[in-house]
Formats: sequence, structure tokens, C-alpha cells
Amino acid sequence: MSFMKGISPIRRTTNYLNASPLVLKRRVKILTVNFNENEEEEHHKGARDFVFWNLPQVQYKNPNVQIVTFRNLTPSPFITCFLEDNSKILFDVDSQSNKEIMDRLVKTVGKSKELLEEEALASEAKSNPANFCRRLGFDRHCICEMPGQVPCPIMVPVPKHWRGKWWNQGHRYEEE
Amino acid sequence: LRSLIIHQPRQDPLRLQIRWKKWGPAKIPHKKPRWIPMARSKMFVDPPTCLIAQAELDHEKSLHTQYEMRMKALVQYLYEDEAKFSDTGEAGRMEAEQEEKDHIRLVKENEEENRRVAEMRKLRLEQEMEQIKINVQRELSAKEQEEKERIESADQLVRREADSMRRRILPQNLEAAINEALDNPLDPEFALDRDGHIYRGRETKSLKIPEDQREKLTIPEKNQSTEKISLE
Repeated sequence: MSFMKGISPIRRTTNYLNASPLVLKRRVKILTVNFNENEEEEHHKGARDFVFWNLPQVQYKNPNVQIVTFRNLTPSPFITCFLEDNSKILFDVDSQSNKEIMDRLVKTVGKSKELLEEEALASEAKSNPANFCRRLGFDRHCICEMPGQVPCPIMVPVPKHWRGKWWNQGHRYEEE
Repeated sequence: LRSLIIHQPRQDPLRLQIRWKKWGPAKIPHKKPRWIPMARSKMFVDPPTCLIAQAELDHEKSLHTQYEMRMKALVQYLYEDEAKFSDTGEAGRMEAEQEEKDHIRLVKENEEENRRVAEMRKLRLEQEMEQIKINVQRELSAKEQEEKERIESADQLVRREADSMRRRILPQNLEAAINEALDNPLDPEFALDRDGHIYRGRETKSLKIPEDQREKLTIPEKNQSTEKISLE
């Protein structure tokens, strides 16, 4: 299976990426995560896990938000959200697990579940009964099955002088 | 004053009351004076009638009515839609205000959470500091112990060597020493069997020693004075 490359390639599957509950509010523009990579620092473990497992999901759901990580700069881990009115929200995530961090972010800067459902409903393509194509789920196959319209050329051949082929082959200049 | 000059005829024999234009530009030449009756050709003429068929007029009117009705309905619909669903309408504005309030509340809650986490971090750091102190104490005492043992073993070595120096064979004691050595031969030979018995001596026959008199080889107990003799 050569296409599932890298460490934990499940993180690259669409099912996994779509499973994140965190869709950031419109006011959040930048998200930065500060943490340390040293395995011995247990209080950074939650932040490390968050970056490894959950950050791809967040970026997938929020493609227009800039997400940056800073490694090995500070003794304790934290997340900063920069909003559009130039203010910041600081999340101190010392010794918290990645699930707790996620829940906290969803609660403070994430869109609520109801809002997400509403948006999903509104964005669904509304089914227009005027459309044709049974294959795509509409009621009618073609306008030829409507009474009063030109019948299907399978059943009744179309008059020659209506056909583009006749017209373009120059038959219109022939004298009958 | 100008109008007075124009309107009043110079020779007005009757000197009738004349009404003239009180304000605005004077109309010269005037229309027919009002006291002169209508021309005979124009009197008793029927007013012009509309030649368009009534049905057509009615139809046009109904079309206009329909159009107006639909337009008004559309405008009303759009007005309500904008108020209810758009971001700038009434509902949208109220939602925005609510969102602002929620945002402020959530930020406050987040700060509470931050404070709580800071407290926990403080506790953790204090515990770690105490642990470090204990470890340091332990290491220091271990080092002291090591040093003490080192000095003791060095001491003992020196004593042993001094002792053996005291017991060295001097030239005047040489003959006595030789005689003593010859009288007490040292036999370092020994044999072992699979059961762990040791048979000391060159002349000893292992099978001739009864079982209860056989010496069992045991693991010697760790004697610190004989084990560690390092002078580093």
C-alpha cells in the first residue's frame, strides 16, 4: 500500500479530516501553538498530541485561517488566537490532554453545532423541479415526453430542414 | 407698479374694475378678456371622447393593477427577507449583538480557565522543586558515604602494608625464617568434585575421606575489608 505514506497516514484521509468539531468563527484569523518537542516534558504532551493529531483537521476545516507552530521556545505550552479586531485570546494548555484542548477551543472560538447544521442546510443545492435528468434524481427525463412538445426523434424523425446536419451540408441551397 | 402702468388702458371710458395678475411675469399679449363671451363656433361643442374601446382600457387597467400588486408583494417579501435573514437587517443586528455578548462572556470564562491552569502549574512546579531537592540531598549523602568508604579502605590498606613491613625478614633473622619455612611447608594444591567438595593437600585421596568429613565449598560472604582495595 504505497500511497499511505508517512507516520500515521490515517491523518491524511478525508473521513478523518472531516471528523473535527472545530470550525473557527469568522473573527479568528490566526492560530498559533507554542510547545516543546522534548518527550520528557509531560506537561507539553497534550499540546504535542494536539499538533500531531488535531491540527490537520482544524486546518482542513478552516482553510483561510493561518495556523503556525512554534517549537522549543517557552517552558509551558499555550495557544493564541488572533482576531480580526486586533485582539488576542490566550489559551494556557499546561498539562491538558488534546481532547480537553479541543473542547476548550470549540467552546470559546468555535461555531456552535446548531449554527453548523443551519449552514449545512442552507448550502445544500435546492432541488429545482424544472430540471431534467432522471439519473440525477429529477422527475422528468427529457422535454420530448411533455405533451405539446416536439416528440422524441427516436420515435418520430425530425423534419430534415430542422436538422443542423442538413443545414450545414448545404441542402438548403438545393432546388427540389 | 409696472403692471399698473401696463394693464390700465389709457383711455378706459368705463373705468371698470380690472383684475390683473398680482405677481409673477405679466402675460403680454393677454388672452381674451374674461368678459368677452366664447366664440360662436366654439360654443356647444361636445367635449372630446376617448375612442379607445372600453374593453381595452379595462384590460390595460387590470394589467396595471396586477403589476402593481405583484410588485408590492415582491417588495414586501424582500423587505421581510432582509429583516429576517440578512446580516444587516433587524434580526441580523440583534444576532450580532448577542454574538458580541457571548464572545465577551466566553473570553472571561477562558481567562478563569487560564487562572486555574496557572494554579495547577504552580503546584506542579513546587512538587518538582521538592523532588529535586530530595534527589540532590540523596546524591550528596551518597557521595559522602563513598568518600568515607574510600578513605577507610585506603586506611586499612596502609595498615596492612605497615603490618607486613613490620614482619619483613631482616638479614639477622634470615636463617630462622628459612628454618621456619622449611618446617611449615605450604601446600596450595586442592581438588574439587561435582558436589562442591574441596580436598586440600597434595597427598589427600578424595575417595578415602569419609563423607561426613568432606569440606563443602561455600560462596564466601562478602567481606568489605578484603573486597574493595581501590586507591583512586
